[in-house]
Order: sequence, then structure tokens, then C-alpha cells
Amino acid sequence: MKALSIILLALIPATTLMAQSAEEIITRMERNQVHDTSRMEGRLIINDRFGSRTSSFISYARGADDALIEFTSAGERGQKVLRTRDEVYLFYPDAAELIRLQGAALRDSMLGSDVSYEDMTGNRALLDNYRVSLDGEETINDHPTFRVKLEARGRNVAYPRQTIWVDRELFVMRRAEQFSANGRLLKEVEVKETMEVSGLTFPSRMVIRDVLKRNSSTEFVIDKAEVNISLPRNVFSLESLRW
Amino acid sequence: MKFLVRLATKNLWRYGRRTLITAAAIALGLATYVLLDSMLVGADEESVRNLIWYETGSARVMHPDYWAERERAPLRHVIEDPDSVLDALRSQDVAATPRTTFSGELIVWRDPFPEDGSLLVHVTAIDPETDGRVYRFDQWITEGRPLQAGEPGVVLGSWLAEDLGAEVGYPLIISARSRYGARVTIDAEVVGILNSPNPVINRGGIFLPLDIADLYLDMEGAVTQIDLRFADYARVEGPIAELKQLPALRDLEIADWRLLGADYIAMMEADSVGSGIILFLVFVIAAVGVSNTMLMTIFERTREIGMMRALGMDDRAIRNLFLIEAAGIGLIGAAAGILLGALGNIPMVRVGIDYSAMFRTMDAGYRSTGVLYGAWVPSTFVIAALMGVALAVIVALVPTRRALRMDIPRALSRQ
Amino acid sequence: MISVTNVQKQYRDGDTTVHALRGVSLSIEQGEFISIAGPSGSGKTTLLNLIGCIDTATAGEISIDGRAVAGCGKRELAAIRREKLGFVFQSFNLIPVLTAFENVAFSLTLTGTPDAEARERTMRILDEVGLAGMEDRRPSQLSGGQQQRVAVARALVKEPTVVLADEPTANLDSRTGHAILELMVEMNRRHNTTFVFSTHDQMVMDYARRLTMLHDGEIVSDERRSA
Repeated sequence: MKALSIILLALIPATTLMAQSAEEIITRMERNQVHDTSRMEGRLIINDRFGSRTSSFISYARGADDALIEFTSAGERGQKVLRTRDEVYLFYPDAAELIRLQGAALRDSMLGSDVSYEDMTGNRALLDNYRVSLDGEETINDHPTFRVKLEARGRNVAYPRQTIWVDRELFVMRRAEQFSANGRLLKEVEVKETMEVSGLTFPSRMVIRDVLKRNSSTEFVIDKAEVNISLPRNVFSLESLRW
Repeated sequence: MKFLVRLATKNLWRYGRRTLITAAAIALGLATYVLLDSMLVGADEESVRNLIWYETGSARVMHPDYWAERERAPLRHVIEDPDSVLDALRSQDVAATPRTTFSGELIVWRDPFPEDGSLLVHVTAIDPETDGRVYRFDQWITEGRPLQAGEPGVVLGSWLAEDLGAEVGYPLIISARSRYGARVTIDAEVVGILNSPNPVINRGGIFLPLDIADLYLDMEGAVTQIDLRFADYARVEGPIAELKQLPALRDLEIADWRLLGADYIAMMEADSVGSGIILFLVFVIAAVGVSNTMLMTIFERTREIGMMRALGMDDRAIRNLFLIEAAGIGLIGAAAGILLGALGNIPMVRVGIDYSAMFRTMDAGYRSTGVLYGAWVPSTFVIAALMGVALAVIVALVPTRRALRMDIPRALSRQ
Repeated sequence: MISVTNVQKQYRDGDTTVHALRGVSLSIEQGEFISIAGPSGSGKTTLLNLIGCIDTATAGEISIDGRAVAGCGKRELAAIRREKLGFVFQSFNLIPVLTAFENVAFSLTLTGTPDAEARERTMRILDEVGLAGMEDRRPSQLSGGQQQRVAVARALVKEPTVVLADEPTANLDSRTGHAILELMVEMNRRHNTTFVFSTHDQMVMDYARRLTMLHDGEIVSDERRSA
């Protein structure tokens, strides 16, 4: 019986073992980074050829699907972005106008940053969209990491290939690269700082670069975070956009 | 009546100078009208030709849902099996070529380009083998060479190339989405620069071989459109009705150039309202000039009118006499105006007027890059002639009637 | 032949009503050579215009050849002028673009006289008024006296009931004026055509065989003289 187990184990190719562990790595990372509920305050610092500008925001999130971002800085005060499973809505207080983003509009940049509305869905539920494999180990900014390769399962995934470096101890993302179908690097995400709240560690300062654009980067900073708290009902509903 | 015509002719002759001045005003107005109309019709003809030859073809076959979303150039609604459509079209002897239009971002980097930049664009993927059956680009490639199948090369419109600082041999990246939404990048090289007579193409044209687009965009042989050119390129109703009978095209839509170039057509229509106003102003100015001299002429002859009435001539006959005189002036003016317009139109048709500097900087909507040629429009000459005569008669009517309303003793005592 | 019965004519001149004629009655017989005279504003021209059917009376009756003028429409009045009346104006009023012949023939053209007949009558009258050989000249190529002869010929060629002449000598020197008056006397004698003048020129009055004086719109004297 024991012998049989050993034989069976031996028959399973090494790659499978690696893959399983890669999935585990991603699962553990997502457990850290995707919260049942959260409320965060942060800033978006956009650097491009026009200079640097900062937008502050408060965000609410529930699981991988629902998020609401409300901008609080002077220039865009009251602007809101609501994301549910399938849709993204924008609300502009000046015009009291509600815009539903569909199709290609989701690819537009948010506030001129290197982040598109579509990207907001980016790291969620990775295993649904990607086949993952462990590609090796590497030290990133003094943190030992697993290098995990992601290969899109379908042809409809925005970034057909990604590489994510996951901290071996904390299981938090340290770095990510996103590629086009034919392998050109499109975006780089570098995690500068992490934060621990209620035993969960997640990036609190990231720099995102659109490699094609050069000379531009977006820094994403979380100043304050609460996780697994109770959120008011209807936060992720259209009515909430018009408070 | 014969007597009236004779008398009118003599009067025209006697008041020769005034006849000439009045006729000259009419002639000038009509010549302006003829030349303006020639220019507008010429611009329209040229624009339609350039629209069809470089931009829309005579008509386009596409997925029925494509049209509503064309602004985004979606790859969702495509012609899955272009070959069967092309075969069917070939059997009808219709010139056709497959194309795929997609939206993307054109990315250029400093060195060799003058600076980093990106631009939202519509890219047109063409079949280098068959595109020439419908469109006429190859002769307008001013630098480099046409596209070749299988190579990731692009041909850029000349103004776009100039704006980007692009030259033949420069590398660039087209960032787009595949048919299914995945991000793709196409590394390509500028192989040619196109300076066509169509400003829309020069301003924004980006062309890529169809097979390259097919590969990168995951099209699996599908295309967004099949463009057609009919023997008589602008006449589409008959051929389209015939093509709609073909089984291979049953589930597809055929849009003609009027729909495809709707922005231009709308502009042309708005323009014809504008030119109608201009032509009306020309008419009004001529009318004012003519009515002034006509008023003087009739006013000066008040006593003569009084005398003729005293001698028992019918008011109607007197009015006819003056209207015949006016018509005579109109006729002379019309003849001179048409002659002048025709003479002026010869260089306009042969040499044209060079607007290139203007069209480069402003988007007038005309599909023409430089020299606009006039056109011969026989109906305009006829209309101009009729207008000249009508104008003269109409402006003579009022002062004549006024002179005839005056009582005879008053008219006779007028110095 | 011409009867004027209690004719009044008023017209408005700004705010005031001018009584040009205040009840004038006059009867003119075939072949008379009558001068209506008076100072300016006496109403003589008004009276001539009424008889000439180029003006209409405010009240009263005028009849020509037994035909009452009052109540006639514009076209009927034009027909009366065309067929029964001849005019000679102070300032000749020839059509400048027509020759002497054509100016005279114009009268006949209006009455629809056949060309051949018109031509013959025109040549004859031109001969009578002393313009033989000048028929192809235009007014600008004729002297004042010659132009007035053309005007007289134009008035006479249609053989009217009456020739109305408003100050026919005013624009002529006295010698030429005499000649024109002599011509009219001669025509009156030869054709028995009635002539009615309006004038304040003593010379014209001297030629008249009947002199009717108007003053302030009323007849103050009406005398017949033997020739």
C-alpha cells in the first residue's frame, strides 16, 4: 500500500507538483490581497510628461468583484468609480452624470494614469483566467520570491501572459510584469511597500508603469486600511453613486 | 409688338452707356455665379472621386451589426468567410478587396522619432495583392514602397508621417486588441509614405498587410469588410441591388459610398446651402446694382412715358416696352456674363486653383489635397442666362409701374 | 362738338385744397381756333388737360363729339386720346430715338393704321408742315421750330377732332413761333381741324379767332373775333 503510494507519486510528473504549488502560491497571495470587505484611504500619484499630480481617494471593496472608489482631492472631488462583477460605472458630480463603461471604453485610462478601468479587475481571481506555473525563485528588493508564470486560459484575457513575483514568506506580490500575446512587455508593477492589517499583508505602495508609453508612471499608495469590516448596505449599488 | 421691340432696341442703342453699365453689372454677377458654381461642382466631383478612390470604394460589404459600432472599429462583427464572398463577387465581375479596420494605439519612441508619443488611430489592414483593384494608392507612395504580404510594414499618410516625424525605415509599435480582447502589439517598420489626393487619408491613414493583422489580431481569416468598386464608380444603386441577390452576401450588409462618406456628404449638403446663400448674395448685389440704373433710366424718361400715354398709347404697351428694354439689357448682360464666365472657366478647368496650403491646415471636409479644378456645368450657364434676363425684368417692373401710376399732367411736367 | 358744362376741378396741394376750376362752361364748334388765356394759376392748363382727357374733372360734364368723358375708364380715355385728340406740347416731346417720319407715324401705329397707308399719310403731312426731305432726321438733328413742326404733324396726321396745344410757342423764338402759328392757321383752314390753345403769350392770342379768358378758375370773358 505504501509502496503503491510511492509509485503513484513517482508517476506524477514533477511539473505537476510545481504547478500545484504555483496555484497554491497564487491562492495564498490572493487570500492576503483580496479581502472579504475593506475600506482604504490612499493616493494615486501620476507622473507623466505634464508633471506629477496626486489624487486622493477612499475605496470600498468586497471580494474580487465589487469595488467603489471615491476621489476626494480637489480636482476630482466626488468623482466615483463603481465596479461590480460585469460593469463599471463612472459618476461625475459636476454634470450629475452617470456613465456606464462598456466594451472598449473599459480600456480607457483612469484619470490619465497608467491604470485602465479594466486593470482594476486585473489581479482578481487569477486562477480563473490563467494557467500558472512556478518559474523559479528570485530576490526582489531584498525579498526572496517565487517567480510565477501566468498563461491565459482563453483568448479573451486582456493580458495573455504575466509574471508575478510573490514573497516566499509573506505571500504578497513584490513585482509583476504583463505581456501582450506576442510577448512584448506592456506593464510593470513594482511593490515598494506592504502593509499588515488584521493579519493580512498586501501592497500599500506600488509603482505601475505603462512600458509602451515611457516617461510615465503611476504610484498607488494606501495610507490607511481596514479589512473585514462591515460596510453599509448598498455601497456597491448605483444609488450609492449619487449620495 | 414688333414695333415695341424695334423701339426698345433703338432705346437700348440710344442709352448705350447706361445699357452697357447695367449689362456689365449683370454680366459680372453672372460670371461670378458661373465661376463659383464651377468651382463648387468641381470640388464636389473631385471630392466624390477621391472619397471613392481612396477612402470608401463604391460600396462596402460588412457584418450587419458593424455599422452601428464603426466608431470603435470593433473586431466583434466580422465577415467570417471572406473567400466565399470574394468568389461570388468575382463571378459578377465586381472588383473587390478584403480589409480589416481596427482601432489601436500607435506608439513611437524617441530616436529615431523626435520624441516619445502615442496616438489613438484606426489602422487599415489591406491585401497588397488585391487592394489595387478597388483603391489607387500605389502611384501616390512618394517615399519608400508599397506594402508586401507577410512583412510587418506600415504605410503612413504623409501628413501623419510629418506630424510624427516618421521616415521610411523607422520602427513603430501598434498596440491593439485581438479579436477576442487580448492585448497585442505589432512591431512594424515604416516602409512607405502615402501622399494621396485625399486629405483624410493623408491626415490619418495607417496601412498594414492583411495577413499580418490576421495573425496578430487572431482573426482566423475573418475580415471586417470587403470593399468594392463598380465600373461606374459613383453609380451604385443598380449594382448593389444585383449583389443583394447573391446567396453568399445574404447575411451581410452592403453600404454605398454615400453612407460610408456620410460626414462628407453632410458637409457637401451643408455646403450647398452655404453656396446657395453666396449665390443668392451675388444675385442680390447684382439686383441692387441693376435696379439702381434701371430706376434712373425709367425715372429720367417719366416725361416720355407721359407723352406716350397722352398720345393714347396703352399703359400695358408702355410697360411692355420698358420690360422689353430691360430684358434686352439682361440678354446683353447674360451673353457677356456667360462669355466671361466661360473664358474664366477655361483656366479653372485646365489649371485649377491651388488650395494645398489651406487644406493642409484646416479640415474643410473636402476630399482634396491641393489643386481644385472647375467643371463645365451646362445647366449653370442656362440658369445664369435665365437669371440675368429675369433679374433685369424684375427690377424694371417696380419703377415702370410707379411711373405708370403717376397722372399724366404730372408726368408731362417732369423735367 | 366739344361741350364743357359747369366743370369743376379741385386738387389737394399739401393741406390746402386748390380750386383750379370753379364751374366752367364752354362750347367749342368744329373748325374753331380758340385760345384759352389767363395768368398762370388761372386754370387754363387744367381746362386743356380735362378736354384732352389726360385729367378728370371733379364735377361737371365734358363731351367730345357727343361722347361724355366722365365715367370713362383708363383704357377708354386712352382710346379717345388716340383717335380723336392731337397734342402739341410746349417742349415738343418727340421720341428722341425715332426719326421725324417715325415720330409722326407713331400716332398712326397706335391707331393700327396699315403700314402703307400710314406711310403715305405721314409723308403727305410732313410735306404739308414743310419738312419734306427731313423725314429721316432725328429730333436732335432738327431745330426747335422743326421739332415743333414734327409735333404738329404728329398731332394732325391721324385727322383728330381737335388739336390741343399747351403753350406751343413758349420754347421758340418769336419768329419761329410766328411760323408755327401760321402753320397751324393754315392747317386749321385746310383741314377744318379744331385747335384749342392754352397760352399767356399775346402773340398766340393775336392769332386766335376766339379768346376765352380765365381768372381764378372762372371764365371772365369769351369773345369771337373775325380773322
